[in-house]
Amino acid sequence: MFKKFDYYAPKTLAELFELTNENNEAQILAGGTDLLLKLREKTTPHKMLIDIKKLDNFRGIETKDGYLRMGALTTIREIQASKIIREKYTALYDAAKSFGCLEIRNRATIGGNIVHASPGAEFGTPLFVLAAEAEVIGPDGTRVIPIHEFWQDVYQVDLKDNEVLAAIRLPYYEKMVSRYHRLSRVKGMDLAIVGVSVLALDPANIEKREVKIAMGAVARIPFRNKEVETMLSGVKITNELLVSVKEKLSDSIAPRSSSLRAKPAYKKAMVGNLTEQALLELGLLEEGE
Amino acid sequence: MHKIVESLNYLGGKNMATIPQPSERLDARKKTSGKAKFVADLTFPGMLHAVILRSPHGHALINSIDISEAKKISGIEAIITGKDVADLVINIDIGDQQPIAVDKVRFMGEPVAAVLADDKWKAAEAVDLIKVEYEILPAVTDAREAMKEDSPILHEKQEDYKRHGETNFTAGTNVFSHYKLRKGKLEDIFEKADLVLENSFVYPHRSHTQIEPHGAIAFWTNESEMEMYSSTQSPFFVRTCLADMFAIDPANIIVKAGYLGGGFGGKSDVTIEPLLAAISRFVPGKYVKLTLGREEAFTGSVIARGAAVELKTAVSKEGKILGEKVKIYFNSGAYGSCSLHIVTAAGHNSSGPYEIDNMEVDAYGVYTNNPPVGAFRGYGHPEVHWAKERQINLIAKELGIDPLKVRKINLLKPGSINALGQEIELENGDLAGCVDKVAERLGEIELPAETDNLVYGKGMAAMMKSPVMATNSAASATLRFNESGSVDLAVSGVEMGQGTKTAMRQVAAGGLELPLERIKIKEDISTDNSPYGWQTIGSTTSWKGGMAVLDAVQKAIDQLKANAAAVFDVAVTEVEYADNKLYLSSDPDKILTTEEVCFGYMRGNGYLLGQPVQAYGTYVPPELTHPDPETGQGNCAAEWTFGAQGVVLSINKNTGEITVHNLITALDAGKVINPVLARNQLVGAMVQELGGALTEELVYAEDGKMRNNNFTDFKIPTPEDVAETKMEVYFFETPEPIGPFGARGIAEHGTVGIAAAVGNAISDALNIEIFNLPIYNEKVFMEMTKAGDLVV
Amino acid sequence: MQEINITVNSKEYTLTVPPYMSLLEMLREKLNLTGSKEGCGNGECGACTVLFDGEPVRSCLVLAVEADKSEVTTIEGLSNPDGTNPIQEAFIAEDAVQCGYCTPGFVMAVQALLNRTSEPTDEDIKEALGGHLCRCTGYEAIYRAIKKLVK
Repeated sequence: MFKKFDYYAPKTLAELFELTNENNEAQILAGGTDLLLKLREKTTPHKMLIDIKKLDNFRGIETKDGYLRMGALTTIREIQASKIIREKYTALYDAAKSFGCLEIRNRATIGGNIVHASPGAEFGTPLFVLAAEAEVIGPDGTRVIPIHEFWQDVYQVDLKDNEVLAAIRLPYYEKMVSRYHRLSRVKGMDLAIVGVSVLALDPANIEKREVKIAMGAVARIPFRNKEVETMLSGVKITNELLVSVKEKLSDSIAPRSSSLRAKPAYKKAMVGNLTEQALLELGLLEEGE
Repeated sequence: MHKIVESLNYLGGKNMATIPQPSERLDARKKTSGKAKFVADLTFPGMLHAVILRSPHGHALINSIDISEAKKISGIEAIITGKDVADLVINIDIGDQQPIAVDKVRFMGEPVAAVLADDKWKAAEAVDLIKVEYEILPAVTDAREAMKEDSPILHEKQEDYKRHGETNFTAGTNVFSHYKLRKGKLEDIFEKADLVLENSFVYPHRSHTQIEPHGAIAFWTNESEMEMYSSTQSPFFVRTCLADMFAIDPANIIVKAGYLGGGFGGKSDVTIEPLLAAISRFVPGKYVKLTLGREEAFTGSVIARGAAVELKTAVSKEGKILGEKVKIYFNSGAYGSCSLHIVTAAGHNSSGPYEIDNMEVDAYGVYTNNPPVGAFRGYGHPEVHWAKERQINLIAKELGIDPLKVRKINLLKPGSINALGQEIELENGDLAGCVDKVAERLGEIELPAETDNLVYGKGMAAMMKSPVMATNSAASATLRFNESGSVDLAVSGVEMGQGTKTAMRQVAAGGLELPLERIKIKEDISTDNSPYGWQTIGSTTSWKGGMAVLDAVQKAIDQLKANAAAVFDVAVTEVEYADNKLYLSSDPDKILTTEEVCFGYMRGNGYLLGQPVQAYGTYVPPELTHPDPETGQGNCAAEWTFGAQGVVLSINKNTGEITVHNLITALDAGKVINPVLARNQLVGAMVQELGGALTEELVYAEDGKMRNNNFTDFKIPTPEDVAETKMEVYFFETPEPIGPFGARGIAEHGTVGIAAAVGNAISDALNIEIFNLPIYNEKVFMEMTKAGDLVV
Repeated sequence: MQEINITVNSKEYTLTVPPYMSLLEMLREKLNLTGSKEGCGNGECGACTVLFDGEPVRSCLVLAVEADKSEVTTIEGLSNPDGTNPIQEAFIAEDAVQCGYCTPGFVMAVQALLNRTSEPTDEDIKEALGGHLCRCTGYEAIYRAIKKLVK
């Protein structure tokens, strides 16, 4: 049972901003699979929901001006089904595939997952390594913010009361591979205990190769380890190097000990192993050493 | 040990193999089409909704409750706090609980106030406006901690509580029950033994997580007459409890139970019914509905049992167990009634299926600031088997011999005296056969070659199970012939998915030699007109219910014979019944059909010979006694079921992730009434317990708050977890003399040894020893990356 | 209160609902279609699964007002006129039902799967069932029923 609230479904952007301007505490309703859960709790009174699903502005996956634009209302299922995402932005596809369950994926949206900004959010680490940008729209126009700046803290993103996340933009690179791996307690629907995304630009050209790594559910927000990225970029990735990479990754995180899903020691061990798995699948590990 | 009851004598000459088989479960069609009605689906004109304010704290004094703001919401019919019902006590065995907390809350989720309104949102809004001032008290959430001298005390005046029967409590402490078992003498056995092994094992609290949360609807006609629909496994037991609480005659309370969306013991105890009965009494003439949300079902009903078990085992170098000291600490939560007998059951069964000549068992029921613990499928057996069957493997490891050998040298066999002092007979079942079968299957299963990442393991556990129940725990059946020769049958016992109604219809059809379609069985229970049944628990429903059905069958056949004898004008002893016909033993060609006499036989002039045939059958397990207060022994278990279980699994060495490839059970079921349903019971139980083995554990904060009262963080097995698992079930059939057609209980048995078999398989795979459940991936990984055998 | 127009099991309705009423509550309490069950209210058990514009969703996590101008199919809408449905028949034949509380959700999930493809792979089947919980059967018979349907 939900707590009581009012509901509006604006049909134009003008209507939307009229509502957001007048109701600072209003919540934007997208897929609802995160927000509606909170409406069951006594602790968070909600007075008004503004459903943006009647607006066309936030839908669709399209290639535009050298980047891929996903409307904030793009469902996880649509991401999972997108050929270009599977082939080009594979980490995002991996995240979509392990997100919730089919019924949840049919409703949940990429925008909702990001704005909710949970530490273990499935799409956090893929978007961080893909250097995504958040396209935010408000009464005064559009802002574009790099994802790592947009994603400020636990449950906190850079959105003013009258602004709405409109889309996610992903830069396009000719040569780019990526994977996302996560662990969970059961094999069916479960939240991630820990997740890692690995991306490589120009993967076949060792000298020019650029590697990026982000870890999820290990800190307040998705965490990129730049030192390790430097260690892995432009060099052959040998097993020897991998050993020190794993150590560095492990040392770079201090997950909270109160997590119900896994203790810090396990997460610290797993970020390295998941990274190894992703590197292996991306063909970035030197063989026979 | 057992007496063969008379109802079986009648069936003695029959071919017990021919129990008619239905093509489908009785309720399957309704349940797959959404037509089956559960309590939550019922609604009545003018029905009110109850929403409960529950304690957010594990242990606190209630200083004040302010309902003034809540009262202002329109549509509120009543707001009830503990003070309004302070005279009511829930006394199932121990009168330690009240429907709404009065001065003090003892667990998170304990009711503090209730709001009744014509609309559930209004009620919820009002609940949010009730202000309660608490004074937080230190909490305790572990049984062994709660037994320490400096522990917070939950019940300061245990000695003041009213009780039904004896409970061995210690006033001024948290110990509300102490079951003692003494067999033989331990004396100097530990000094003389070749090996003494001491280990401590933990089986944590779980949640039943029936997919249907608890719900009930109550209607008081006046202040001493009530009707209630409830998601209960025990309508008669609920009636008894409510009658006691309100001091009114049970006949004035009607409790109705239809289909249950899963029970597993969590709806067998009295849970939300006293609360709903107490609050709905303020609005006589109106139906009041209370359905729990999922989070509430975790904290506001009963949670599933768990215990710490300490074993000190003396063993000879051949592996023979010479003696054993057992300590069991049951974390029973805030109130004791619903786990009192689990403590005893665990004590009874702590020997495992082994003959141990010298035993000392001390099982303690201990109050803690957790929700009250209730029955859960397995009822104390999985906890002690987790300890015992792990211990057997650890003994074998110490001695360097095959664990199978240790099991076999110690197994109970005909002539053995079990822990209760009962002599085991051939007809108790083929324990050794089951153990051999599982060992054989484990031997046959070929494992893929190990890789850098994957390692495989096999493990087994032997098991036994006995129901613990009141010595007068009856089951009953009514059987009435219709004028067409068809039969209306009603049997005690609630249908909660176990298929008891399907099976009982088969038993009646087998006994009467009638086609199945001629028997109509009533699927719901109403205490005003259904045959009496104590509780739907302990895997006893089809066993005891089946005996009651056969008792009714025999009585009905006697009546048919009497009617026929009147027609034939002979003594009743000269009439025989077979194949739905009655005939003269001296002249088998002289035949009357059942249809001709089942409503009495009317002559041409209207003169009636005999009477309509309707019979009432009952069954109470014979000669049961309470355990002796000193030795803990006695005839406390009416039947034993023996078996063995096995597990094959693999472990990903990079992550600790476990994949289960085979789950195996061999069980001596006595007689399988319905092979399809029986197998599926065992499979369901194995997977349920796999959850207990791998992921399920209620987690509490220090202040007693439950941290994972939801499916987000209390993880039960999902379809994908067993997508690659081959389920194997093997039934042995050594007829049980006091079972219908020789059948025993089977519903819980698939749970008993699975956790231990998983633990043993992990030991086999990685040579690591795990003592505390659950064995989630993380635990396996952390343990295997450590050196040596450490407690995890 | 808000007015919505909704098609449920091919029948059109105009309903007045509070904004905070879930689609599940609307089906159960307004239309008396109690076949869809609430097992958790959190989207985690699957007992409330219905088809929403043809796709399976958790009706406990959809607002009734969000379903304005939509088409919903519930377990009650699956049966052919003769009261049968191949999925239900397969579940019955394989005894894939025990307490029955999760069953409507599973049946709806399988219907959605078969709407997507008549020849689902093992992976497709696992995906379809991934978020459905059953505490009774151990899932074996449910898998068997589905395999029977696609064979």
